[in-house]
Amino acid sequence: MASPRPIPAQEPTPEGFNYKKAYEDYLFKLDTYRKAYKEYSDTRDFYLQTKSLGLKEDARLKTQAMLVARDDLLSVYMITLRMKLIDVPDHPGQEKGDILTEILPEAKWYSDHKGVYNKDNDSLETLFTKSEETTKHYDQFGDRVVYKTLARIAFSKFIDMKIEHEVLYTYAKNRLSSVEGNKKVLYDRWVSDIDKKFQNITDIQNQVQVKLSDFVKKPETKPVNVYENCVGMLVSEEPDFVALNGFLTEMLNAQK
Amino acid sequence: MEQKVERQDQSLAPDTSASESVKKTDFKELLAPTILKIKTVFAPLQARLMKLGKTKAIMVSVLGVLVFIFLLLGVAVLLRPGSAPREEIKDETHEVAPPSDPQTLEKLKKAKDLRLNLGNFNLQDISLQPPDVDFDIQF
Repeated sequence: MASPRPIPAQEPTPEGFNYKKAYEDYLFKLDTYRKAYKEYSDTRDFYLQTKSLGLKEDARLKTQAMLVARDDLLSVYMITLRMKLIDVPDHPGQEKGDILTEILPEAKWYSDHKGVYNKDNDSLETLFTKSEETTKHYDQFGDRVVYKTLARIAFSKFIDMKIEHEVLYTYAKNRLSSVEGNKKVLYDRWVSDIDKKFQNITDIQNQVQVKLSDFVKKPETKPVNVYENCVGMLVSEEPDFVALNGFLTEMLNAQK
Repeated sequence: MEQKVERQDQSLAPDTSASESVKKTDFKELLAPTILKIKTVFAPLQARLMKLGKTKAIMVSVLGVLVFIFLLLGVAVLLRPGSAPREEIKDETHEVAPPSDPQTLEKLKKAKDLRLNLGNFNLQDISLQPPDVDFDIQF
């Protein structure tokens, strides 16, 4: 039986393999799973209508194929998430190493587990039992790793957007630093308004930072709920970002 | 005595019927040359319509009237108040010449790009959500 084992986070990635390629693989596996599931579903219904031995055998074969496709899909999905996370910029205090360390063993678990379904020897009942192993493992580890990764990707995008605006702000402030008189008073008011927008964004950033720790500190909370909570808070800052962007554009257009 | 007064009243009242007939005659005489002109202008058209037969003549006339109405509507739409292009509202309170130094222009372009990215502030990344797989496969 496969089990999660520690694997170095920075395990070498095959040359030329990137997020785009991983995502294409994922879409292909998703398509394969859907076809396998449809065949499984059809043969199961035929068997349940007429419980003959022949139809049971058909159902067994299709179930085995679907279970292999399911584990394969989950494995490739984990790799796709990992590649996406690698692409996202690393920010101080938001290092990705911890998640990268968790996600790769997950991908390997499903990849290894798909080999346990024996096409020739496993009865339908044995296949169900083996399928339960995947269900339990996903509930216990996979689900948490997935939403933790998705939340980290969203959070990194948010911080990245903030940093990009901070760079523009620093430039705009330096550009107008030599201005004096009435214009200086006006621009100081603008700076004050912009600072308030940045403060709102930073407040949310800090709140989400605390919320993200729920993945570890509150194991009883459903991972999807923690993720949706975090993303909801981040998305709520979109109007502040839009306003901030407009203010900075005005500041860059302002006369010295 | 009363009859006399009545008669006197009648004789004093103006003879309206006579004046109206005079007015009508004047009006007809006044319009006669114009009507003649119109008849002269439309005579060839009328002749052609008569050649077409009654049904076709009616159809052509109706079409003509419709085209005329559409032309009138077109002219009315063009001439309606407010149809002329409006002048753009300019914010003259902070009207300034755009900066010319390349570095600021580059930063402005960056701000514009960021604004476009904000339009797709796709933090929930639908394409990366977990696949919908069935974990409950008991028959």
